[in-house]
Amino acid sequence: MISRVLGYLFVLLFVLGLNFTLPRLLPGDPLTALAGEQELILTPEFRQELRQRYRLDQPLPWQVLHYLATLMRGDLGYSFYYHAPVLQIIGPALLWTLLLCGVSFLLSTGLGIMLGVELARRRDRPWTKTVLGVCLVLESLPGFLVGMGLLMVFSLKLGLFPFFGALEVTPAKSGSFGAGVLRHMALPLLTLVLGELPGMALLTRAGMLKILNAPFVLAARARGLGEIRIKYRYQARNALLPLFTRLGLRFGTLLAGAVPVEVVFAYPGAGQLLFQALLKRDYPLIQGLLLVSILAVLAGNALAEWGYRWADPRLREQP
Amino acid sequence: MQNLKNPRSRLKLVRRYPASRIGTFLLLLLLILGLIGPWLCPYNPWEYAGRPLEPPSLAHPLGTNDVGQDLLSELLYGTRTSLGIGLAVGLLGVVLSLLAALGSILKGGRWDFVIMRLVDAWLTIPPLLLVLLIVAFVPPRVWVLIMVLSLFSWAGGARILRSQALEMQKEPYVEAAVALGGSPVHLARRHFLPGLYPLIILCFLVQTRRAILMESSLAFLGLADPQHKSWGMMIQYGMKFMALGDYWLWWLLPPALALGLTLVSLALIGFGLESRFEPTLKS
Repeated sequence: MISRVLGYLFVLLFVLGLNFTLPRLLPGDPLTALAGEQELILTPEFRQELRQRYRLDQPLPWQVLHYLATLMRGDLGYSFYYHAPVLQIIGPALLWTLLLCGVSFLLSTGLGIMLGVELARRRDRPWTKTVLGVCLVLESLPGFLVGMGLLMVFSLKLGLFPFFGALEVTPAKSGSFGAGVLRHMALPLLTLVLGELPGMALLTRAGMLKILNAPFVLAARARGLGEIRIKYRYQARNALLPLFTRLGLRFGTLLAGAVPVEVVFAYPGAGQLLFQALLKRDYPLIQGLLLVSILAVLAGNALAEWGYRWADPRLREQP
Repeated sequence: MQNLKNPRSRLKLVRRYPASRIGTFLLLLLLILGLIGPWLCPYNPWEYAGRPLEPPSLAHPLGTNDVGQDLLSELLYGTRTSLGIGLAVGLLGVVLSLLAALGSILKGGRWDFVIMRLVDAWLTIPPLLLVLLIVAFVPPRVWVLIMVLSLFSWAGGARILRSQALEMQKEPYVEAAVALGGSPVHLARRHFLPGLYPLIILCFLVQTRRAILMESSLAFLGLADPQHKSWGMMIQYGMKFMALGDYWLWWLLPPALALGLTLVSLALIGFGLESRFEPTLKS
């Protein structure tokens, strides 16, 4: 347990270290990363003032301490493109992304498990082979390709869904607020679910195949338990245990995968904001967004690991 | 398995695993295209070869883009970039995985503990997010991309290879070699490498696939080497003209298909090999 905590600490330090060093690796002055390209036209006096404000005139150890202190205060820097503190800008964007990723995480996990269970239990039916092939293809395609395909067919050709944004431009258009949100979220959500569900299904299937005829399943049948109970409480539960720790990792890939997908659908989430920040070379915003996302994923991983201990009774007794 | 040397029975083996066969064929085709592509190109992809936004014609089989560069030439050059980066990362990544796995097994003790904790920690990092962070600051030259992508792709393979090597370590022939005083290098070369061979191929395929996927996503977000045309970059530029008439047909579809086919073929080979090495997975 202690070594796991040390591992997380190590990764945390690594990420913070990268965040601290990268702006200082930029050619020229680290001020470029703090104030943007406009620093080239700053007056020497103002430049001096900026250097003092960001402690760039002090020795490196002091700079590190200053950096950590500002982070502790929740200060992620100042976005020079939006002229606002980074934290203030990424708040709403992160909420949209969290909504999108959260719903698709739940959907893809639930449906993926069900699909995987069925694929394993009916492995001799002809249709499972086709589904397996489709899963394999979908799993290997990048999200933005699937998204562009869906956008092309459902929005541009059929006109069923809006092709940008997350809210109706005119609030009165499609009835309630919720319906508008749903209509805008449908395609990005479908893209992410299609990207994540096959992986979950294939892993569940592989796990199920190993324990399909395990002795405890035979024992459950002999006791006359119902098939649905056997399927989920006995087979799936055991097949899924090793996958539990992967849930945190999957949330990470989902969050990262959402970046290009949000760009395709112009969804106003963190991915779209990151894309804009990359275009504008708004370094504090890039750093702030990625730092928060990475920390969220690390927290998710830790949570999944802790959940694994809770879910597996064999591990619960151990200290 | 013992008559694997016989070409006919080997062919039969391939026939029993059509997924790998189709995948290998597709991948070979793309590899050849990537290798001889620049000689097939009608134009230099950086040259302004025609009028902007030309539809397909005999002179420009896939038309031209918004500044008049030939799209077919871009596509062929892109094959080289995408496959090249993918294969390089796959190779480098698998070498790193192997070094970590064999290092932890052969050195044992404290080394094993440290390396495996490092692997566990590394696995909690979302690779694309960290690569994004680095590439936003370091100019994304091709070699930078290869290094950064390899740096974040070795951990999963290391864990798989180690667990297999751990099982091999208990085999009598390995124990005998250890008892006879075989050096770590000898053990690695003579016993572990041949035994791990199938898994090494699998890890290579998985890491190559992930690298191509990440490279295309990065290029799609505008983080690509401007000196090398790539499919992701083409798709990014093409997307701006998506809603405009039929341009997507010759601008977006070809790179999308090429990228999709590459990834699917790699997945097919991997899946075919996996079901061959692990019979319980076979349906």
